[in-house]
Amino acid sequence: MTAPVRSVALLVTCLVDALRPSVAEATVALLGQAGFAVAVPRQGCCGQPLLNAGDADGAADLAKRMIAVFAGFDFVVAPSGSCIATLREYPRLFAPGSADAAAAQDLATRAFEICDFLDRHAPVLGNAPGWDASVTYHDACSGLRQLGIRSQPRALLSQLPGLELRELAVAEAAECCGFGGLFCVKYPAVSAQIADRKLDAVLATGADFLVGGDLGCLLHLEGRLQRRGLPLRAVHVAEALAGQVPGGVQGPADGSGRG
Amino acid sequence: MNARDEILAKLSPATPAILQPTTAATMPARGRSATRIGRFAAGLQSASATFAVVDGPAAVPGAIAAFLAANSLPLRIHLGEVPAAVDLRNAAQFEHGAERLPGDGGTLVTGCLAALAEEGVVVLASGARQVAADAFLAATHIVIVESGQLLDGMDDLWPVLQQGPLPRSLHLIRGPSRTADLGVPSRLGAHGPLRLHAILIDPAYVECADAGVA
Amino acid sequence: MDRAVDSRDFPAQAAAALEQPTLQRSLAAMRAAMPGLRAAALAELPGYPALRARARDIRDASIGSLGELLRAYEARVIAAGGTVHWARDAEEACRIVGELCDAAGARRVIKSKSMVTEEIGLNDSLQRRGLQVTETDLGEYIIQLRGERPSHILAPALHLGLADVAATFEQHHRRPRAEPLREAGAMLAEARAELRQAFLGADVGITGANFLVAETGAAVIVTNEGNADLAMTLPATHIVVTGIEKVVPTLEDLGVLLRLLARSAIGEQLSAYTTLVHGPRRADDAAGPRAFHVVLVDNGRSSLLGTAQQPLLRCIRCSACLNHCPVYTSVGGHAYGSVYSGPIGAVLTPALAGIAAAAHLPAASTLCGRCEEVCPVAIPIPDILRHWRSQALAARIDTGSERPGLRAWRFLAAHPWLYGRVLALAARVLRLLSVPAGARRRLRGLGPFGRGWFAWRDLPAPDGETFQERWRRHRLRERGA
Repeated sequence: MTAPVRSVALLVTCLVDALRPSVAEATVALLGQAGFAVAVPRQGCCGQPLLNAGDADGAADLAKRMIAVFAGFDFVVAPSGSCIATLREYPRLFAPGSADAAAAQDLATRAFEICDFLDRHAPVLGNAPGWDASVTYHDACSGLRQLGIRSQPRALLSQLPGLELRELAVAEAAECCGFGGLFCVKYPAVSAQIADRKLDAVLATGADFLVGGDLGCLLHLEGRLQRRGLPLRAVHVAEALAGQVPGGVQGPADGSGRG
Repeated sequence: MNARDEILAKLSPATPAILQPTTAATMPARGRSATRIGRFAAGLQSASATFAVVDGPAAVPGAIAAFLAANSLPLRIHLGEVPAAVDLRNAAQFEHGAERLPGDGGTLVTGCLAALAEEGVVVLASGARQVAADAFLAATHIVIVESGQLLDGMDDLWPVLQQGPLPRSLHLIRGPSRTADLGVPSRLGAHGPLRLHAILIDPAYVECADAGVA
Repeated sequence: MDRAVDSRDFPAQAAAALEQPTLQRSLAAMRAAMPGLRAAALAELPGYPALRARARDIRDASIGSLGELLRAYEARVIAAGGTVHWARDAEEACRIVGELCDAAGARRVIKSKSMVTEEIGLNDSLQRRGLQVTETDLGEYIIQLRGERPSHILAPALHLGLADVAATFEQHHRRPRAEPLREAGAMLAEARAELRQAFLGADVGITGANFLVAETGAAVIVTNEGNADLAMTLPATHIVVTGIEKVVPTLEDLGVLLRLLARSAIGEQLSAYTTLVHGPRRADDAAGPRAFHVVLVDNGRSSLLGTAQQPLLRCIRCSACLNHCPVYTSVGGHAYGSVYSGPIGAVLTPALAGIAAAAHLPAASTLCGRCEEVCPVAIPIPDILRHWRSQALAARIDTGSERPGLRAWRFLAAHPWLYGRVLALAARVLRLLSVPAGARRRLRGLGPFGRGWFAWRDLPAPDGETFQERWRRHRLRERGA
């Protein structure tokens, strides 16, 4: 007798929702291949910009809504380390011992970034698409330092036939890309210099593509690359794992990807 | 209310914090050499200090003379507080400097309160016969360490200090003076000595057993 | 803080700093070297995480018992023949030190590097009293000659190159020179000679203290140059000026912190000189200052107790956070407009100078968390940055124009249907305004909107439809089919 299929709610994330839906499509495909029933409840924003700007009231308000949206699902998965890190901060927005804090704590234990989730529940990709390319990986700060995401995306990417992973040099590997949410538009010159340092390291690897787990970082880096007239492209790790990449050999089983 | 009372009133905590006694050791690094002398030598070297071992107090004057000759320095020394067994006053090869060091320069020879192997440190205490300032005015500082004074590391120094009366000032000296303010790598001889040389008196030391630096 | 904190200028100062070649070269060298040095030095310590936890606990225990520890420290200093003074603020601290110098009949004062004395503006205050004050830490000496502020906690002259130093020495040192100064060794020799005169002729030596040890009444002063040792042994009066948070209970506790300080700071096992000073000269001492004074400075530190900012008092001033910060290592210390720069400066300056004057500092961070990661006492700097941002928001202090935007965003996000429509509209508009870029599309600008983004970046164009729209449309279609 097979176990009942567990339910996963997708936390889309604002950036993915508006600016790169393919990342969410890829995430849904990956979760489906891993044997989960995926739902996408109508949702707003997790509140990360408010939390980081110091608006604890506003963040708590949005947190309560998100907690309600995601009640009843076994898991909540997002293609973003920073959004999940925000969800994991929810308990601290409420008075200790309160019902809200308990509900927030419950959500925090069910919420995962996509690579972390696959690593825990379906570490072997059911349908590993080939990708004949060399890539380098950018570890987003919140995923890395708050969620401990480092080995998981690499373990998953290593299953793609034809893919070569070239690591950034040690000195640059752990450095921020300079996005930082509102930081990148409040202090843009500094943000751009930090990006350029990261990009110089990325270009030094000679990789064909830059892969990462947070769309904010990727849009910021790819936008800077485009402004500098450089052809290097950024791909979200979910897209890579689902075969939704330029020059990908095989798309996901449900045919919803694009080559 | 005066300033003291006002500040202290603000510092009264609601719940005083209690530091639990540590069950874990403070975990110093252990140098690679198996012997304490080997670790001391390695520590000194990493601090750009130099090192020699002699088998008895009588050999110290010769070791000092050899060091000064090797560095093209005159055989003129100023004495701080040296171990009683070491007779430098009557060592014929030296010219003795005036009672106090000049404003800058000169070679000072002292003993020490202790030496720390792990850190490559010599510990100098101010006292009746030791002017601490001299160790910073001199251009060259030669420190005589008796084998019983060599401790494994900083952790072993604290019980020594906790027992005896404290000197006015205690100086943990790790190599010559240096600065990185004019670029890296650091330059030696910023304000304090340009050279630090440790001479360890250890009758039991067997030269071939330890290459000095592991 | 005594000097007007001009961190309000941070955006312009930061932008200017990005264009300064000498500074940028120094920062690049720092980025290349410092993290590796620290990592290698800590790798030698078996069990660094446990040691770090112990260091954090020692500092927290100290902060939780400051009154008791300072009283114990004071008693021992007095028993050793010294005097302890308490200063509520910068002005009081400067007055106390000034009066001590006057009482000593002093005319010439030498100093070793002390962030607290910079914070309270001591040099200016003493100079107004007619005292000659000479900094002896080489980097501090150089910037004192130039009238500049420090640009790093440990390397105050980081922003200068050798050519700058040579020019400064040539301008200020009155000595005949056969040829211009070029070589670092010659500059060092010259500075040593100049400052030796200052050391020998000083009436008062003023130092800071890295730590105070309650158990033995020790003030602990750490340097590589040995200038503090000369400053505290040659003049007839030694004055220690330090913050009230520096005290630790025992020598063993000191050992834990010393084990981490130089490794975190410069990747060395220990600095060249770690000095414990207990009081003035004893009756049977051959030499030493006859007067020993310790000035304990509050200046806003006590106001942090019991607040979310309290953990920042753990700081041992190692500067690891500066060396690993993407923002600091892009713009250097002067841009912060404060004595304390980098991540610790971003959380400490608002406490000392008020959030109104210093709001840009906590705002100018990506919250990457590297500072907390490398801090030897685990100060939760990103958390404290967010707390300061809260306070700025509550006080309506703007560092950008995001307040209305955040309000609008909160409203939108709280109404998912409206949120969906607005995002869908935005996606369509961006798609429409996009231009081809090879096989893809991009936006190069949006007129007057989004200048912060578009000044430096393009935006890869979106599809024109949001994911939630697409999802619901597919679901409807599936149900309908």
